[in-house]
Amino acid sequence: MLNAAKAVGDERVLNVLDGVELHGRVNVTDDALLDNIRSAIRRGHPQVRPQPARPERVCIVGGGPSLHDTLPELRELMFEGALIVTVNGAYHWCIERNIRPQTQLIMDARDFNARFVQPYVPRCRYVLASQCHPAVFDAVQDYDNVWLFHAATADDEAIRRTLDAYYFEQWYGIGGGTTVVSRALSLLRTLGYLRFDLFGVDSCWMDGQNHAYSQPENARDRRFRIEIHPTGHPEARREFHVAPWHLKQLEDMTQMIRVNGDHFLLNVHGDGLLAYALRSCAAGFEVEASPPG
Amino acid sequence: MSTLLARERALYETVFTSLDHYVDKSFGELHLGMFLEMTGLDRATVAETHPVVLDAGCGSGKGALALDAVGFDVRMCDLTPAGIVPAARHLPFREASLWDDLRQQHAAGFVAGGRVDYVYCCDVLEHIPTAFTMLVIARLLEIARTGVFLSIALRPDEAGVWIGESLHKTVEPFVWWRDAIASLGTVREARDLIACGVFFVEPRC
Repeated sequence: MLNAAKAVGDERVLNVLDGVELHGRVNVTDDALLDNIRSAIRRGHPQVRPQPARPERVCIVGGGPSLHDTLPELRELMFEGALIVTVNGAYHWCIERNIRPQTQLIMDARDFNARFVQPYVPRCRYVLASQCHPAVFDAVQDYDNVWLFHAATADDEAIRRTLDAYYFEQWYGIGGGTTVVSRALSLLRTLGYLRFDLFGVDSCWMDGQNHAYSQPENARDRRFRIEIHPTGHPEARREFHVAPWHLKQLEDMTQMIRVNGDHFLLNVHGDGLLAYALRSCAAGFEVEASPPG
Repeated sequence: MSTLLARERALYETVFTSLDHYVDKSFGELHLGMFLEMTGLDRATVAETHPVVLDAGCGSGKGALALDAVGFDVRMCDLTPAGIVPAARHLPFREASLWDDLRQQHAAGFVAGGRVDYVYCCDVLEHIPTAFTMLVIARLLEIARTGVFLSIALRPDEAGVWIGESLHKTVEPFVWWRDAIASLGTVREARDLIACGVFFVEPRC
Protein backbone atom coordinates (compact mmCIF):
# COMPACT_ATOMS: atom_id res chain seq x y z
CA MET A 1 0.00 0.00 0.00
CA LEU A 2 1.06 3.59 -0.54
CA ASN A 3 0.55 4.82 3.04
CA ALA A 4 1.63 2.10 5.45
CA ALA A 5 0.45 3.25 8.88
CA LYS A 6 3.02 4.48 11.34
CA ALA A 7 2.76 3.34 14.94
CA VAL A 8 1.73 5.95 17.52
CA GLY A 9 4.91 6.90 19.37
CA ASP A 10 3.49 6.62 22.87
CA GLU A 11 0.67 4.07 23.23
CA ARG A 12 -0.53 5.83 26.39
CA VAL A 13 -1.93 8.56 24.18
CA LEU A 14 -4.62 6.06 23.12
CA ASN A 15 -5.80 5.50 26.68
CA VAL A 16 -8.74 7.91 26.81
CA LEU A 17 -11.41 6.05 28.80
CA ASP A 18 -10.65 4.80 32.32
CA GLY A 19 -13.02 2.25 33.86
CA VAL A 20 -14.00 0.36 30.70
CA GLU A 21 -12.16 -1.81 28.23
CA LEU A 22 -13.53 -1.86 24.70
CA HIS A 23 -12.75 -4.10 21.75
CA GLY A 24 -14.08 -3.27 18.30
CA ARG A 25 -14.83 -6.01 15.82
CA VAL A 26 -16.37 -6.19 12.38
CA ASN A 27 -19.90 -7.57 12.28
CA VAL A 28 -19.23 -10.22 9.61
CA THR A 29 -16.65 -13.01 9.45
CA ASP A 30 -13.16 -12.35 8.10
CA ASP A 31 -13.89 -14.62 5.14
CA ALA A 32 -17.08 -12.76 4.29
CA LEU A 33 -15.22 -9.47 4.54
CA LEU A 34 -12.52 -10.65 2.13
CA ASP A 35 -15.12 -12.02 -0.28
CA ASN A 36 -16.81 -8.62 -0.27
CA ILE A 37 -13.50 -6.89 -1.00
CA ARG A 38 -12.59 -9.27 -3.81
CA SER A 39 -15.94 -8.59 -5.43
CA ALA A 40 -15.90 -4.81 -4.94
CA ILE A 41 -12.44 -4.10 -6.34
CA ARG A 42 -13.29 -5.84 -9.62
CA ARG A 43 -16.19 -3.53 -10.40
CA GLY A 44 -14.11 -0.80 -12.05
CA HIS A 45 -14.72 2.01 -9.56
CA PRO A 46 -12.04 4.66 -8.90
CA GLN A 47 -10.18 4.63 -5.60
CA VAL A 48 -10.27 7.51 -3.15
CA ARG A 49 -6.85 9.20 -3.08
CA PRO A 50 -5.32 12.12 -1.17
CA GLN A 51 -6.35 15.55 -2.46
CA PRO A 52 -5.05 19.06 -1.74
CA ALA A 53 -6.56 20.96 1.20
CA ARG A 54 -10.04 22.42 0.60
CA PRO A 55 -11.64 25.25 2.56
CA GLU A 56 -15.28 24.11 2.38
CA ARG A 57 -17.10 23.33 5.61
CA VAL A 58 -18.43 19.78 5.77
CA CYS A 59 -21.51 18.60 7.68
CA ILE A 60 -21.23 14.90 8.47
CA VAL A 61 -24.73 13.67 9.21
CA GLY A 62 -25.09 10.51 11.29
CA GLY A 63 -28.32 8.95 12.47
CA GLY A 64 -28.26 9.85 16.19
CA PRO A 65 -31.41 11.04 17.97
CA SER A 66 -30.22 14.68 18.31
CA LEU A 67 -30.80 15.17 14.58
CA HIS A 68 -34.34 16.41 15.20
CA ASP A 69 -33.15 19.11 17.61
CA THR A 70 -30.28 20.27 15.42
CA LEU A 71 -32.12 20.36 12.08
CA PRO A 72 -32.25 24.21 12.01
CA GLU A 73 -28.46 24.38 12.52
CA LEU A 74 -27.90 21.84 9.76
CA ARG A 75 -30.16 23.73 7.36
CA GLU A 76 -28.41 27.00 8.15
CA LEU A 77 -25.00 25.52 7.35
CA MET A 78 -26.39 23.95 4.18
CA PHE A 79 -27.69 27.33 3.03
CA GLU A 80 -24.27 28.83 3.73
CA GLY A 81 -22.77 26.32 1.30
CA ALA A 82 -21.49 23.54 3.54
CA LEU A 83 -21.05 20.15 1.93
CA ILE A 84 -23.61 17.61 3.19
CA VAL A 85 -22.12 14.17 3.81
CA THR A 86 -24.50 11.52 5.07
CA VAL A 87 -23.75 8.09 6.47
CA ASN A 88 -26.04 5.07 6.32
CA GLY A 89 -29.72 5.84 7.05
CA ALA A 90 -29.11 9.57 7.52
CA TYR A 91 -29.26 9.64 3.71
CA HIS A 92 -33.03 9.02 3.81
CA TRP A 93 -33.55 11.28 6.80
CA CYS A 94 -31.98 14.17 4.88
CA ILE A 95 -33.81 13.46 1.62
CA GLU A 96 -37.12 13.43 3.49
CA ARG A 97 -36.32 16.94 4.77
CA ASN A 98 -35.26 18.31 1.37
CA ILE A 99 -31.59 18.25 2.29
CA ARG A 100 -29.73 16.83 -0.68
CA PRO A 101 -26.83 14.55 0.28
CA GLN A 102 -23.76 15.50 -1.76
CA THR A 103 -21.85 12.47 -0.53
CA GLN A 104 -23.22 9.24 0.91
CA LEU A 105 -20.77 7.08 2.81
CA ILE A 106 -21.16 3.42 3.76
CA MET A 107 -18.68 1.13 5.48
CA ASP A 108 -20.82 -1.67 6.96
CA ALA A 109 -20.26 -5.07 5.33
CA ARG A 110 -23.81 -6.41 5.58
CA ASP A 111 -26.30 -6.72 2.72
CA PHE A 112 -29.11 -4.63 4.22
CA ASN A 113 -27.02 -1.50 3.60
CA ALA A 114 -28.16 -1.62 -0.03
CA ARG A 115 -31.25 0.32 1.04
CA PHE A 116 -29.02 3.24 2.07
CA VAL A 117 -28.06 4.04 -1.54
CA GLN A 118 -31.60 4.18 -2.86
CA PRO A 119 -33.17 6.21 -4.31
CA TYR A 120 -30.49 7.63 -6.59
CA VAL A 121 -29.69 11.28 -5.95
CA PRO A 122 -28.25 13.00 -9.04
CA ARG A 123 -24.75 14.46 -8.53
CA CYS A 124 -24.39 12.69 -5.18
CA ARG A 125 -21.01 11.05 -4.70
CA TYR A 126 -21.40 7.48 -3.38
CA VAL A 127 -18.27 6.58 -1.41
CA LEU A 128 -18.35 2.93 -0.44
CA ALA A 129 -15.88 0.84 1.49
CA SER A 130 -14.47 -2.03 -0.50
CA GLN A 131 -15.71 -4.26 2.33
CA CYS A 132 -19.35 -3.36 1.58
CA HIS A 133 -21.60 -6.22 0.54
CA PRO A 134 -22.01 -6.98 -3.20
CA ALA A 135 -25.71 -6.10 -2.83
CA VAL A 136 -24.68 -2.49 -2.13
CA PHE A 137 -22.53 -2.39 -5.26
CA ASP A 138 -25.30 -4.03 -7.30
CA ALA A 139 -27.60 -1.23 -6.15
CA VAL A 140 -25.21 1.47 -7.45
CA GLN A 141 -24.28 -0.36 -10.62
CA ASP A 142 -25.84 2.26 -12.89
CA TYR A 143 -24.96 5.28 -10.76
CA ASP A 144 -22.48 7.96 -11.76
CA ASN A 145 -19.86 8.99 -9.26
CA VAL A 146 -19.23 5.85 -7.24
CA TRP A 147 -15.92 5.77 -5.37
CA LEU A 148 -14.16 3.08 -3.42
CA PHE A 149 -12.16 3.37 -0.22
CA HIS A 150 -10.37 0.72 1.72
CA ALA A 151 -11.11 0.65 5.44
CA ALA A 152 -7.81 -1.06 6.13
CA THR A 153 -4.33 -0.47 7.41
CA ALA A 154 -1.05 -2.27 6.89
CA ASP A 155 -1.84 -4.34 10.00
CA ASP A 156 -4.82 -6.00 8.29
CA GLU A 157 -2.64 -8.69 6.79
CA ALA A 158 -5.18 -10.63 4.69
CA ILE A 159 -6.81 -7.48 3.34
CA ARG A 160 -3.46 -5.90 2.58
CA ARG A 161 -2.36 -8.97 0.64
CA THR A 162 -5.59 -9.01 -1.37
CA LEU A 163 -5.39 -5.32 -2.23
CA ASP A 164 -1.65 -5.40 -2.92
CA ALA A 165 -2.12 -8.25 -5.38
CA TYR A 166 -4.97 -6.57 -7.24
CA TYR A 167 -3.72 -2.99 -7.26
CA PHE A 168 -0.01 -3.81 -7.49
CA GLU A 169 0.37 -2.06 -4.12
CA GLN A 170 -1.12 1.16 -5.52
CA TRP A 171 -3.87 1.84 -2.96
CA TYR A 172 -4.46 3.98 0.09
CA GLY A 173 -5.87 2.65 3.33
CA ILE A 174 -8.27 4.74 5.43
CA GLY A 175 -7.81 4.14 9.13
CA GLY A 176 -9.54 5.77 12.05
CA GLY A 177 -11.71 3.67 14.27
CA THR A 178 -14.46 1.11 14.06
CA THR A 179 -17.54 3.19 13.25
CA VAL A 180 -18.40 4.85 9.99
CA VAL A 181 -18.30 8.40 11.39
CA SER A 182 -14.74 8.19 12.67
CA ARG A 183 -13.66 6.67 9.34
CA ALA A 184 -15.60 9.38 7.56
CA LEU A 185 -13.45 11.99 9.27
CA SER A 186 -10.25 10.25 8.14
CA LEU A 187 -11.61 9.76 4.67
CA LEU A 188 -12.77 13.34 4.21
CA ARG A 189 -9.50 14.63 5.61
CA THR A 190 -7.75 12.49 2.99
CA LEU A 191 -9.94 14.19 0.39
CA GLY A 192 -8.61 17.52 1.61
CA TYR A 193 -11.42 18.77 3.87
CA LEU A 194 -10.42 20.43 7.13
CA ARG A 195 -13.58 21.83 8.79
CA PHE A 196 -16.20 19.42 10.05
CA ASP A 197 -19.57 19.79 11.76
CA LEU A 198 -21.03 16.57 13.13
CA PHE A 199 -24.80 16.18 13.29
CA GLY A 200 -26.58 13.14 14.70
CA VAL A 201 -23.37 11.73 16.12
CA ASP A 202 -24.34 11.43 19.77
CA SER A 203 -22.70 8.22 20.98
CA CYS A 204 -25.69 7.65 23.27
CA TRP A 205 -29.43 7.09 23.62
CA MET A 206 -31.52 10.24 23.97
CA ASP A 207 -35.13 10.21 25.15
CA GLY A 208 -35.17 6.43 24.81
CA GLN A 209 -34.11 6.50 21.15
CA ASN A 210 -30.83 5.31 19.66
CA HIS A 211 -31.52 6.76 16.20
CA ALA A 212 -33.52 9.65 14.82
CA TYR A 213 -35.42 7.13 12.71
CA SER A 214 -36.34 3.48 12.89
CA GLN A 215 -33.27 1.28 12.55
CA PRO A 216 -34.35 -2.33 13.15
CA GLU A 217 -30.77 -3.60 13.06
CA ASN A 218 -30.06 -1.75 16.33
CA ALA A 219 -33.29 -2.71 18.10
CA ARG A 220 -31.54 -5.33 20.23
CA ASP A 221 -28.55 -3.20 21.26
CA ARG A 222 -27.67 -3.71 24.94
CA ARG A 223 -28.21 -0.54 26.92
CA PHE A 224 -25.95 0.50 29.80
CA ARG A 225 -26.23 3.43 32.14
CA ILE A 226 -22.91 5.19 32.53
CA GLU A 227 -21.64 8.05 34.60
CA ILE A 228 -18.76 9.88 33.01
CA HIS A 229 -16.61 12.85 33.87
CA PRO A 230 -13.35 14.33 32.62
CA THR A 231 -10.40 12.77 34.43
CA GLY A 232 -9.89 14.62 37.70
CA HIS A 233 -13.16 16.60 37.45
CA PRO A 234 -15.99 14.61 39.11
CA GLU A 235 -17.99 17.82 39.48
CA ALA A 236 -18.63 17.74 35.71
CA ARG A 237 -20.20 14.27 35.98
CA ARG A 238 -23.09 13.42 33.66
CA GLU A 239 -25.23 10.36 33.12
CA PHE A 240 -25.87 8.78 29.71
CA HIS A 241 -27.38 5.59 28.36
CA VAL A 242 -25.19 3.86 25.82
CA ALA A 243 -24.72 0.71 23.78
CA PRO A 244 -21.18 -0.70 23.71
CA TRP A 245 -20.64 0.65 20.18
CA HIS A 246 -21.53 4.14 21.42
CA LEU A 247 -18.67 4.02 23.90
CA LYS A 248 -16.36 2.60 21.25
CA GLN A 249 -17.30 5.50 19.00
CA LEU A 250 -16.50 7.93 21.80
CA GLU A 251 -13.16 6.21 22.37
CA ASP A 252 -12.33 6.22 18.63
CA MET A 253 -13.19 9.89 18.24
CA THR A 254 -11.29 10.94 21.35
CA GLN A 255 -8.24 8.95 20.26
CA MET A 256 -8.40 10.45 16.80
CA ILE A 257 -8.50 13.94 18.24
CA ARG A 258 -5.55 13.18 20.51
CA VAL A 259 -3.46 11.77 17.67
CA ASN A 260 -4.57 13.87 14.69
CA GLY A 261 -6.44 16.76 16.26
CA ASP A 262 -4.06 19.32 14.78
CA HIS A 263 -5.14 18.36 11.28
CA PHE A 264 -8.80 19.39 11.35
CA LEU A 265 -11.45 21.54 13.04
CA LEU A 266 -14.35 19.72 14.62
CA ASN A 267 -17.67 20.97 15.94
CA VAL A 268 -20.19 18.49 17.39
CA HIS A 269 -23.82 19.62 17.38
CA GLY A 270 -26.46 18.44 19.84
CA ASP A 271 -26.28 17.48 23.48
CA GLY A 272 -25.18 13.86 23.33
CA LEU A 273 -22.25 12.11 24.95
CA LEU A 274 -19.78 13.00 22.21
CA ALA A 275 -20.74 16.67 22.28
CA TYR A 276 -20.40 16.68 26.08
CA ALA A 277 -16.98 15.03 25.83
CA LEU A 278 -15.66 17.48 23.26
CA ARG A 279 -17.03 20.55 25.01
CA SER A 280 -15.29 19.49 28.19
CA CYS A 281 -11.96 19.81 26.31
CA ALA A 282 -10.70 16.88 28.39
CA ALA A 283 -7.97 14.58 27.15
CA GLY A 284 -9.46 11.59 29.00
CA PHE A 285 -12.50 10.44 30.94
CA GLU A 286 -13.43 8.23 33.86
CA VAL A 287 -16.40 6.00 33.22
CA GLU A 288 -18.59 3.99 35.58
CA ALA A 289 -20.92 1.58 33.83
CA SER A 290 -23.98 -0.16 35.26
CA PRO A 291 -25.31 -3.44 33.83
CA PRO A 292 -27.96 -3.32 31.10
CA GLY A 293 -31.28 -2.10 32.45
CA MET B 1 2.72 23.98 -42.45
CA SER B 2 3.79 20.75 -40.77
CA THR B 3 1.19 18.15 -39.96
CA LEU B 4 0.39 17.06 -36.44
CA LEU B 5 1.95 13.72 -37.28
CA ALA B 6 5.20 15.33 -38.41
CA ARG B 7 5.36 17.48 -35.28
CA GLU B 8 4.72 14.53 -33.00
CA ARG B 9 7.32 12.42 -34.78
CA ALA B 10 9.90 15.20 -34.47
CA LEU B 11 9.03 15.63 -30.78
CA TYR B 12 9.62 11.97 -29.95
CA GLU B 13 12.79 11.80 -32.00
CA THR B 14 14.02 14.66 -29.83
CA VAL B 15 12.83 12.94 -26.67
CA PHE B 16 14.48 9.62 -27.48
CA THR B 17 17.73 11.13 -28.64
CA SER B 18 18.17 13.85 -26.02
CA LEU B 19 16.67 12.46 -22.80
CA ASP B 20 19.00 9.69 -21.76
CA HIS B 21 16.81 8.30 -18.99
CA TYR B 22 13.46 8.52 -20.76
CA VAL B 23 13.43 4.85 -21.71
CA ASP B 24 14.75 3.58 -18.37
CA LYS B 25 11.30 2.88 -16.97
CA SER B 26 9.00 0.79 -19.12
CA PHE B 27 5.36 0.35 -18.16
CA GLY B 28 5.12 -2.22 -20.94
CA GLU B 29 7.63 -4.31 -19.04
CA LEU B 30 6.04 -3.64 -15.63
CA HIS B 31 2.47 -4.44 -16.63
CA LEU B 32 3.00 -7.75 -18.39
CA GLY B 33 1.76 -9.69 -15.35
CA MET B 34 -1.44 -7.68 -15.25
CA PHE B 35 -1.94 -8.23 -18.99
CA LEU B 36 -1.71 -11.99 -18.51
CA GLU B 37 -4.07 -11.85 -15.54
CA MET B 38 -6.68 -9.76 -17.33
CA THR B 39 -6.60 -11.86 -20.50
CA GLY B 40 -6.71 -15.10 -18.53
CA LEU B 41 -3.66 -16.34 -20.42
CA ASP B 42 -1.10 -18.43 -18.58
CA ARG B 43 2.53 -18.58 -19.58
CA ALA B 44 2.39 -22.25 -20.66
CA THR B 45 -0.48 -21.57 -23.07
CA VAL B 46 1.28 -18.54 -24.51
CA ALA B 47 4.50 -20.50 -24.99
CA GLU B 48 2.55 -23.18 -26.82
CA THR B 49 0.15 -21.13 -28.95
CA HIS B 50 2.18 -17.93 -29.58
CA PRO B 51 -0.71 -15.45 -29.80
CA VAL B 52 0.05 -12.48 -32.04
CA VAL B 53 0.31 -9.23 -30.10
CA LEU B 54 0.95 -5.71 -31.34
CA ASP B 55 2.87 -3.45 -28.95
CA ALA B 56 1.23 -0.23 -30.08
CA GLY B 57 3.42 2.78 -29.34
CA CYS B 58 6.28 0.52 -28.37
CA GLY B 59 8.72 3.31 -27.41
CA SER B 60 11.84 1.55 -26.17
CA GLY B 61 10.57 -1.91 -27.11
CA LYS B 62 11.18 -3.21 -23.59
CA GLY B 63 7.53 -4.19 -23.26
CA ALA B 64 7.73 -6.04 -26.56
CA LEU B 65 10.86 -7.84 -25.35
CA ALA B 66 9.01 -8.97 -22.22
CA LEU B 67 6.08 -10.21 -24.34
CA ASP B 68 8.53 -11.98 -26.64
CA ALA B 69 10.22 -13.68 -23.69
CA VAL B 70 6.89 -15.17 -22.58
CA GLY B 71 6.25 -16.57 -26.05
CA PHE B 72 4.00 -14.06 -27.77
CA ASP B 73 4.47 -13.50 -31.50
CA VAL B 74 5.25 -9.78 -31.16
CA ARG B 75 4.89 -6.88 -33.59
CA MET B 76 5.83 -3.31 -32.71
CA CYS B 77 4.78 0.03 -34.09
CA ASP B 78 5.43 3.64 -33.17
CA LEU B 79 5.86 7.06 -34.74
CA THR B 80 9.60 6.53 -34.78
CA PRO B 81 12.04 3.71 -34.08
CA ALA B 82 14.40 6.18 -32.42
CA GLY B 83 13.74 4.88 -28.90
CA ILE B 84 14.08 1.15 -29.54
CA VAL B 85 16.80 -0.41 -27.43
CA PRO B 86 19.34 -2.59 -29.28
CA ALA B 87 18.00 -5.81 -27.72
CA ALA B 88 14.59 -5.22 -29.30
CA ARG B 89 15.73 -4.24 -32.79
CA HIS B 90 15.29 -7.75 -34.16
CA LEU B 91 11.55 -7.67 -33.47
CA PRO B 92 9.26 -6.76 -36.40
CA PHE B 93 8.65 -2.99 -36.36
CA ARG B 94 6.56 -0.67 -38.48
CA GLU B 95 6.57 3.10 -38.37
CA ALA B 96 2.94 4.07 -37.89
CA SER B 97 0.67 6.67 -36.40
CA LEU B 98 -1.91 5.10 -34.12
CA TRP B 99 -4.68 7.35 -35.40
CA ASP B 100 -4.18 6.22 -39.00
CA ASP B 101 -5.88 3.17 -40.46
CA LEU B 102 -3.73 0.55 -38.77
CA ARG B 103 -5.53 -2.34 -40.39
CA GLN B 104 -4.65 -1.11 -43.86
CA GLN B 105 -1.10 -0.28 -42.84
CA HIS B 106 -0.57 -3.67 -41.24
CA ALA B 107 -2.18 -5.69 -44.01
CA ALA B 108 0.86 -5.55 -46.24
CA GLY B 109 2.82 -8.47 -44.89
CA PHE B 110 3.26 -7.17 -41.34
CA VAL B 111 0.35 -9.07 -39.78
CA ALA B 112 -1.77 -11.73 -41.46
CA GLY B 113 -5.10 -10.18 -42.42
CA GLY B 114 -4.09 -6.92 -40.80
CA ARG B 115 -5.34 -8.13 -37.41
CA VAL B 116 -3.67 -9.37 -34.25
CA ASP B 117 -4.95 -11.40 -31.31
CA TYR B 118 -4.15 -8.70 -28.77
CA VAL B 119 -3.06 -5.09 -28.74
CA TYR B 120 -0.76 -4.11 -25.89
CA CYS B 121 -0.62 -0.36 -25.41
CA CYS B 122 1.17 0.94 -22.33
CA ASP B 123 1.97 4.53 -21.42
CA VAL B 124 0.84 5.78 -24.82
CA LEU B 125 -2.66 7.24 -24.80
CA GLU B 126 -1.81 10.07 -22.43
CA HIS B 127 0.75 11.20 -25.04
CA ILE B 128 -1.92 11.48 -27.73
CA PRO B 129 -3.56 14.88 -28.29
CA THR B 130 -6.97 14.69 -26.62
CA ALA B 131 -8.92 15.13 -29.84
CA PHE B 132 -7.32 11.97 -31.20
CA THR B 133 -7.47 9.66 -28.16
CA MET B 134 -10.78 7.98 -28.92
CA LEU B 135 -9.89 7.66 -32.58
CA VAL B 136 -6.75 5.80 -31.54
CA ILE B 137 -8.69 3.46 -29.27
CA ALA B 138 -11.19 2.80 -32.06
CA ARG B 139 -8.31 1.98 -34.42
CA LEU B 140 -6.76 -0.37 -31.90
CA LEU B 141 -10.08 -2.14 -31.36
CA GLU B 142 -10.43 -2.56 -35.15
CA ILE B 143 -7.28 -4.62 -35.42
CA ALA B 144 -7.68 -6.70 -32.23
CA ARG B 145 -9.43 -10.03 -32.54
CA THR B 146 -9.60 -10.70 -28.80
CA GLY B 147 -8.86 -7.53 -26.87
CA VAL B 148 -6.88 -4.39 -26.21
CA PHE B 149 -4.84 -3.86 -23.05
CA LEU B 150 -4.42 -0.21 -22.14
CA SER B 151 -2.32 1.30 -19.38
CA ILE B 152 -2.75 5.06 -19.18
CA ALA B 153 -0.99 7.57 -16.93
CA LEU B 154 -3.38 9.83 -14.99
CA ARG B 155 -0.81 12.44 -14.00
CA PRO B 156 1.32 15.02 -15.85
CA ASP B 157 4.70 13.81 -17.04
CA GLU B 158 8.00 14.80 -15.48
CA ALA B 159 10.24 14.54 -18.55
CA GLY B 160 8.69 17.14 -20.81
CA VAL B 161 10.10 20.00 -18.78
CA TRP B 162 13.56 19.15 -20.16
CA ILE B 163 12.48 19.79 -23.73
CA GLY B 164 10.06 22.62 -22.99
CA GLU B 165 6.88 20.76 -23.87
CA SER B 166 4.53 18.58 -21.87
CA LEU B 167 4.56 15.01 -23.14
CA HIS B 168 1.29 13.99 -21.52
CA LYS B 169 -1.13 15.78 -23.81
CA THR B 170 -4.20 14.15 -22.27
CA VAL B 171 -4.27 14.04 -18.49
CA GLU B 172 -7.73 12.98 -17.39
CA PRO B 173 -9.19 11.15 -14.40
CA PHE B 174 -9.68 7.40 -14.34
CA VAL B 175 -13.44 7.74 -14.70
CA TRP B 176 -13.10 9.91 -17.82
CA TRP B 177 -11.09 7.20 -19.55
CA ARG B 178 -13.22 4.36 -18.25
CA ASP B 179 -16.48 5.84 -19.47
CA ALA B 180 -15.08 7.02 -22.80
CA ILE B 181 -13.53 3.64 -23.56
CA ALA B 182 -16.80 1.93 -22.64
CA SER B 183 -18.50 3.80 -25.45
CA LEU B 184 -16.14 2.16 -27.98
CA GLY B 185 -15.71 -1.38 -26.72
CA THR B 186 -16.69 -3.76 -23.95
CA VAL B 187 -14.61 -2.95 -20.88
CA ARG B 188 -13.88 -6.30 -19.27
CA GLU B 189 -11.77 -4.82 -16.54
CA ALA B 190 -10.96 -1.30 -15.34
CA ARG B 191 -8.40 -0.96 -12.59
CA ASP B 192 -7.55 2.34 -10.93
CA LEU B 193 -3.91 2.21 -9.83
CA ILE B 194 -3.92 5.84 -8.58
CA ALA B 195 -1.14 7.06 -10.91
CA CYS B 196 -2.44 5.13 -13.89
CA GLY B 197 -5.56 3.39 -15.10
CA VAL B 198 -5.43 -0.08 -16.62
CA PHE B 199 -8.15 -1.41 -18.91
CA PHE B 200 -8.84 -4.58 -20.83
CA VAL B 201 -11.30 -3.92 -23.65
CA GLU B 202 -12.91 -6.29 -26.07
CA PRO B 203 -14.01 -5.18 -29.54
CA ARG B 204 -17.72 -5.23 -30.22
CA CYS B 205 -18.34 -7.53 -33.15
